[in-house]
Amino acid sequence: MVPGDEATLMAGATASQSDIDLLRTRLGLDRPMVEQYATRLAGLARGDFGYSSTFRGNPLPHVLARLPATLVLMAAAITLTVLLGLPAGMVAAVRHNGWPDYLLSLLVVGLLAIPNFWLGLMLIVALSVERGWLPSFGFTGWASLVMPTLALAARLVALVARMTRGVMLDELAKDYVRTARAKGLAARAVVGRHVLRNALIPTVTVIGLQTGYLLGGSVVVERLFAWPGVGDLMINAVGARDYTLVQTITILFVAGFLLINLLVDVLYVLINPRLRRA
Amino acid sequence: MKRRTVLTLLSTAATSPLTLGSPLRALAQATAARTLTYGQSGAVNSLDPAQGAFTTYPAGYEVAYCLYDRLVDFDENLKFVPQLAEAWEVAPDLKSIRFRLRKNVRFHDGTPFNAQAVKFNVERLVDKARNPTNRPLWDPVAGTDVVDEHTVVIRTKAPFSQLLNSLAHGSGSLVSPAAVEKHTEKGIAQNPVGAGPYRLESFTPGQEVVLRAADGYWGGKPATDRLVFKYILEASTRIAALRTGSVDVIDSVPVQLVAGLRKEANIEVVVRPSLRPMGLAINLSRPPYDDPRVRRALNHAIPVDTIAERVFFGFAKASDAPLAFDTQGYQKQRPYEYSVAKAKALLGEVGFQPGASGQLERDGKPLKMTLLASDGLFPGDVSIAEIAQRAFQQIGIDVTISKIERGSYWDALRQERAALAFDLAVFGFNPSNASGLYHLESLFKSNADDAARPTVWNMGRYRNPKVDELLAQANSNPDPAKQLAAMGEAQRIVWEDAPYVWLHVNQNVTAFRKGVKGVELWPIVFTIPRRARVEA
Amino acid sequence: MGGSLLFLYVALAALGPWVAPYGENEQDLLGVLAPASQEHWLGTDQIGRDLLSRLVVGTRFTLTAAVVSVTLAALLGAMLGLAAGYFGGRVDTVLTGLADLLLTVPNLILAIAIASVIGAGMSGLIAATTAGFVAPLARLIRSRVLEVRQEDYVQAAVAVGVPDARILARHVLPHATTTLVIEVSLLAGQAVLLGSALGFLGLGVRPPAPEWGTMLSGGREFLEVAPHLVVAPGVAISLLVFAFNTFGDGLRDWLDPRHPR
Repeated sequence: MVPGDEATLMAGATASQSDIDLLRTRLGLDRPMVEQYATRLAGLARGDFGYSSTFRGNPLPHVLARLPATLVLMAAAITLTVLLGLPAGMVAAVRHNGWPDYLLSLLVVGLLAIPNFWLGLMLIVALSVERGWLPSFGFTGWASLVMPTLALAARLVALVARMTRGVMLDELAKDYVRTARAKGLAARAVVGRHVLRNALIPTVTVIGLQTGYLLGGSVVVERLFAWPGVGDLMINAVGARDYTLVQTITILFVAGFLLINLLVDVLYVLINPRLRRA
Repeated sequence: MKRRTVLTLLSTAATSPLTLGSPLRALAQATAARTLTYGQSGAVNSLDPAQGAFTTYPAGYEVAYCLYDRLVDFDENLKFVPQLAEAWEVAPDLKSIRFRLRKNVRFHDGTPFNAQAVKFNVERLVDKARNPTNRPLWDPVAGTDVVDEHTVVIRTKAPFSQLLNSLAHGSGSLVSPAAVEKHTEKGIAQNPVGAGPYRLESFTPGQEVVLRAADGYWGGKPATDRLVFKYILEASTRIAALRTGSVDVIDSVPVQLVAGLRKEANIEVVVRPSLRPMGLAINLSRPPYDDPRVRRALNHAIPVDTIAERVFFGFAKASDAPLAFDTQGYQKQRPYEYSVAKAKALLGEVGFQPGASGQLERDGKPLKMTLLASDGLFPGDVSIAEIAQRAFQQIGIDVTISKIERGSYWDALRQERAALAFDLAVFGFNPSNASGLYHLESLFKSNADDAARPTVWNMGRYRNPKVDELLAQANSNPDPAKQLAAMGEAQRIVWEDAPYVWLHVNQNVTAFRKGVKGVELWPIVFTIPRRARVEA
Repeated sequence: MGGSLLFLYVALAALGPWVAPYGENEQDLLGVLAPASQEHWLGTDQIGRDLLSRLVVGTRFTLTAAVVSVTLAALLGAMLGLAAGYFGGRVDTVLTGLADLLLTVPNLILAIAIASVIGAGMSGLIAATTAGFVAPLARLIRSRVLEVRQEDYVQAAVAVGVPDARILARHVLPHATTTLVIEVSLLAGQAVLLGSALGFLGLGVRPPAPEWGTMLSGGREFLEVAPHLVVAPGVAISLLVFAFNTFGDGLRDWLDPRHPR
C-alpha cells in the first residue's frame, strides 16, 4: 500500500502533524473504518458520494458536469463504427476474395494490434504537429472531436467490419440469396433487401461486447487528447489519490456499462423480430 | 474608430487585392486582442488563499495573482512594491509592521477594502482550522491591530524578518469578507471575490478559469478584457495549441523544444533561471548516510555539469550552493568535483570496500540505497533518478528507484521517521515567498521532533545547532548585511555537511504568440498574465 | 506467421541481455536523443540509452506480464468456473454473482483502480491485468462444465460415488482445457495492450525497467525532436499483439474445428 490518507494530502506541503490531525478529525477519518463505511453508504443513497479532496466536497456534480464530453466522444465513436465498419464489412463480403476483402483483412489485423494511445499519438504527429490540420487537445469545436474519435473507434470499426463480413458471407451463401442472384437480381439489391437487417446484428453484438473497451478506452483517449471528460478526471484522481473521486467515477462507469448493455438488448429485440417471439 | 478601420481596409483592398489577407487578419486580431488565453500545465481546482490554498500549485497561484491584490506585491524580479498598502514601516525590533492602506478601493462585490478587511483576512490565514496550509508563513503572526480605517499594524510573536514575504506571497491574497460570509468558508474557493485587476467570470474546476477585467480597478483597467486559463497537461499539446493559435501563452516548455520554437516566426520564447535548486535529499536517520563522508562521496559521484549541459541542453546550471544563484542571500561554495576516484576513496575511508561482485561492502553487508523519484513533478525527474542510479552503481552502490505518482509524492517524503521509505529522494524547493532565509529554514532548520513528521521540508532529519543559531540570527537581526552574513555562513556549513546531493538549477521556459506583451515570468516558476496584452 | 513472430519475441525475451548491442541501462550522457545510426540502430533516448537494447530487453517485461497474468487468470478462472459449474447450487449462485459484478467494471478501469492501490511495480501490473480476465474465463469454463456434467459417463461416475476431485480432474478438466488454451492465447494480446496502457498512464513498472508502454509515455515529451522514442515502442507493442492474435486464431482453428471461420 502507498502511504498517506486524504487528510495528509489535503493539508498540503507545509502542514505539521497537528494540522493533519485536525483535518483528519474534520473529515471523519479518525473514526472506525466500519463507521466511515456506513456513513459513506448512507451518503451514496442520498447522492452524496463523500468528501473528494479535489473538489472539497461531494464530487458528484463535478463528475456529472464532465459527463457530456465523455458521452459525446462515445456517441461519436459508435457512429463512426457503424458508418465505417458496416459498409466495409459488406463490401468485403460482396467482393469476397477480391482486393477490398484482402485490404480489409489486413486493416482489421492491424487495427486490432495497435494500441489506441499510440494510434492517437501518431494521428497527432501526422495531422496536428506536422500539418496543423486538426486541434489536438481539449474540446475546441467539432474539429477537435475527429482525432479522439478515430483513436477510440479504430478497434470497434475493425471488429464490426470483420464480424459483418463473416455474417454476410454466411447469408450470401444461403439458398434464398443464391436463388435471387440466379434469377438475375442485382447483387446490390439482394444485399439491400435481405441481408442488411441480418448484418446489423453483429454490429450491435460487437458494441455490446465491447462496452468495457469503449469505457476503458475513453479513459486513455481522453487523457491523451486532454478531452475534458470523466476518464481524464479519473486519472487526475488517481494521481491525487482522491479515492472518493475514483470510486464515484468507477460507479458511474459501472452504471454506464449496465445502461449500454440494456440498450443493446433492446436494440436486439427491435432488429431481430425472431427474438420478440422467443 | 471602427469605421476608420473598415475604410482603410476597403482602400487597401481596392489598391492591392493581394494584401487583403493581412489587414483582415489584423482586424480579427484587434477584436480577439480583448481575450488572452493561457494554456497552463496545471489544473486549477480552488481559488481560496486559505482552506488548503490555491490548488494546484502553481496554476492556482497564477490565477490568484490576477484575481486578488495583496498588501504588498512582487515585481517581476521579486522586489516588494506597494499594492493595497501604499506604504509601510517596519518596527526596529522586527516584531511588527505598520501599513498605510490605499483609499477608495473596493472588492469586486462592491464592498470597501479597509483595515477591518485586512484584519479579517490575516486572522483567517493565521487560524489553523480555516487555513491548514502554508503554516510557516502564518504561524509567526501574533495579531492585527486596526488603528483607523486606513491604518493597520500586523504583529509577530518574535522577530520575523520575512513578514513582507508572507504578505506578498500568493496566500496573502485579500478576500472580500462579505463574500466569505455570503458564499461560506468553503464556498469561496469556487466563488472567489478579490480586489485585483480581474474578477471571476466563470470557473470550471480542473479545466478552465475565465476572468474579466475589473471596472474601477485602482491601477486602471487592464489592457486585456478577458483572461482565459486553460488546463493542458501535456507539453506537446500545449505547444500544438500555441502553434494553432488556440492559446496565446503557455508555460513549462520542455527545454529540448526551445531551439526549434525559437526559429518559428510567430512564437516568442522567454527563458529565466528559476530559484529552485534540484537535488537528492538524503535521509540522515539511517547508516551509512548519517556519515558526512558518505554524503560527500555521493556528491562527487554525479556528473552534474554534464547533466546540466546535455540532458537539459544548457537550460540548467550545476549548483554551487544550497540556494539557487538568483535567490536573495545566495553565497557561492566550492563545487564538489565530479570524480569517481574521490567518491570511492571517501567511501573507503568509512570502511566500504568492493566485494566479490564489485559491489561495495562493509562488514560483509552490501551498500544499498532506495531512491525515491517523482513522476512529472520536476523537469526530467525520472531521468534524474535514472542517471543518479547509474552514477551510484558506478561507485559500487546498489540502487533501487521507487517512483511515486504526482499527487502522493509530497506525502511520501514527509513521513514519520520510522516510516521513511527512502535513502535519497528527488526534491527541489521553490521559495514561493522569494525569501532565501525561508528556503534555508524550510530545508535545514532542525525539526521540532525528528521522530514525527518533519516541521517543514527537512525530511532527511538534518540537525546542526550552529545552523539553527545562524538562521535565528538572520531572522531577528534588523541589519540586512548581518542577515546576509548569517545566511552565507549557514550555507557554508550546510554545503560541507552535505545533507543533499546537489544537482542543478533549471531555467523556466514560457512561450507566447508574437505580439503578446507584458507576460511576467517570475523566477519562482509562476507565469503571470495580469499585465499581458496583445498588440496586433 | 503469428507463431514464428511469437517465437522471435520469446527468443528475445529469453536471450535479451545477450543479444542486445548495449546494456539496457547503459547511459551516454554526451549522446542523448541521437537519431538512428550505425552505432545505435534505433537511436538513443533522453539520457543516452540505446533504444534497440531497451526494446529487446524490455520484451521480457511485457511478455512475462502478459503471459503470467493470463495464466494466473486462467488458473483462477478455471478453479472458480469448475467449482461453480460442478457443484452448482449456492456455490454457483455466489460465484456467478461475483463474476457478473466484476464483469460490469470495464477492464481498464478495474486495472487502474488496482494499480493505483498496489503502486508501481511488476506485481501491481500483473495483478491489475489479471483481475479483469478472471470473470470472463470463469464464466466460460462454467458453461463448458455444465455441458460436460450432463454427459452420461460423468453422471455415472457421480452415481457410483467417485470423489469430486477425481471426477473433476479425470473427466471435466480435460474438456475445459482446450477451450481455456484457445481463450488464453487470444487474451494474451489483450493483456499486452492493457499492460502497456497502464504503463502509458504512468501506472506500470519501476524505472529504469524498459517496459514499452512506460518508454512510449516517457518519449512523448520528445515527440518533435526524437519521434523514434515513441514510434519504436509502439511498433514493438503492435507486432507482439499481432503475433498473439494470429497465433490465437491459428490455435483455435487447429484445436477447435467446430469454430466457424
